[in-house]
Amino acid sequence: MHSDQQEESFLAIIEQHKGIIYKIAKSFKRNEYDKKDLVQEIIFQLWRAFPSFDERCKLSTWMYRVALNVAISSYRKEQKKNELIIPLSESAMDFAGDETPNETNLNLLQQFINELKELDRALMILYLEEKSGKEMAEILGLSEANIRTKTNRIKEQLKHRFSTINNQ
Amino acid sequence: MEELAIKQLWHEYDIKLEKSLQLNYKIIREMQTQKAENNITSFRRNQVFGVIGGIIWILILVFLVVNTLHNIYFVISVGLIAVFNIFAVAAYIRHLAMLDQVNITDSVTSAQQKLAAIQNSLNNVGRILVLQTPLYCTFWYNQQLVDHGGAMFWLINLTIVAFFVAISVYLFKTLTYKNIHRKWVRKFIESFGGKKLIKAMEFLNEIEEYQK
Repeated sequence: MHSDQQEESFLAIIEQHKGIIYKIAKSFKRNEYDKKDLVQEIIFQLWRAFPSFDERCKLSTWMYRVALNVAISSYRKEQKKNELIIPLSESAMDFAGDETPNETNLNLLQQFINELKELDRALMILYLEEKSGKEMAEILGLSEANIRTKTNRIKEQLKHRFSTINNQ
Repeated sequence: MEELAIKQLWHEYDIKLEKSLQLNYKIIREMQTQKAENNITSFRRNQVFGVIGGIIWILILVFLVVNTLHNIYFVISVGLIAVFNIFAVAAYIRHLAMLDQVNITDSVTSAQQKLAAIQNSLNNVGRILVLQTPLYCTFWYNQQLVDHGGAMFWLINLTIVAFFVAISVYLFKTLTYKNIHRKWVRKFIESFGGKKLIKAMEFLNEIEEYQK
């Protein structure tokens, strides 16, 4: 693929899947600066991996793998923010509307996701994104049976959390 | 709240994001044209520096050994320090090879297991290098000192060497992730950049928990 063509098709893919990147960054980073940093890092790593993307694979599986690997590995960066070449005064993705959703339940759900361990968090995002067991297994590299058991356990925790809040 | 309602909530969030998120094309285009340094390349660069620095240090040690063959104490001490450093350089070269096998597009558990293995190996290199400490207390010995040093001199010197042997063996055995529950071990590992190791190992535990 010609490089201009490649750049344009990458931009189109990011535009189409920007929600995935944003939701993963928001689920892995609470601080606004870190979130912007992670969005930028995910987009950059996607761009680096883009030339080797095998079109026989599912685009969303590829995207989730890269985004989740970058999010989970972000501890490797620690405080070395200066490694970024693009200053974070400008971000790769902006929220045009009200960034903080007002809905109580949505805040509660986001809070629940943020409190989970990394792998559970990844699983929860994929579950909410309605990925099939097979695709979740491919993204995470676990067996479908493991995924099923864990998903059920997390769903129970989530239900319990909502019911406790609603009963208060 | 039921499963369906939770999924509906997430779906509504999706719609909201779709409307509100705007890509900054200028920034993304900049990313596409510039070669930003990422974590893995900076780690690779550190390993390459480690290999180059290590090789230079080993050459200096070998040079010193070759030119001081008449002093057996120096040859043994510095020779062993060189062996420790050869091990470290070999491990750093192995890290570079392991790094080549890490693919960010692999499944999450596969990529993270590989990264954690490198992190763990890096910690082990540090632990093994600690073992060379007593040798820095013995390289200056010579035959004249052995013959005429006197009992007090040797008592003090060998006590110091024994202390360093004991402390380095203790640190080697203790500074592992399995002892992370000990407060001082955690603090010690963290203060030497081991936070990454702790996170990597915690994630590995999480993966193992899934695979049970």
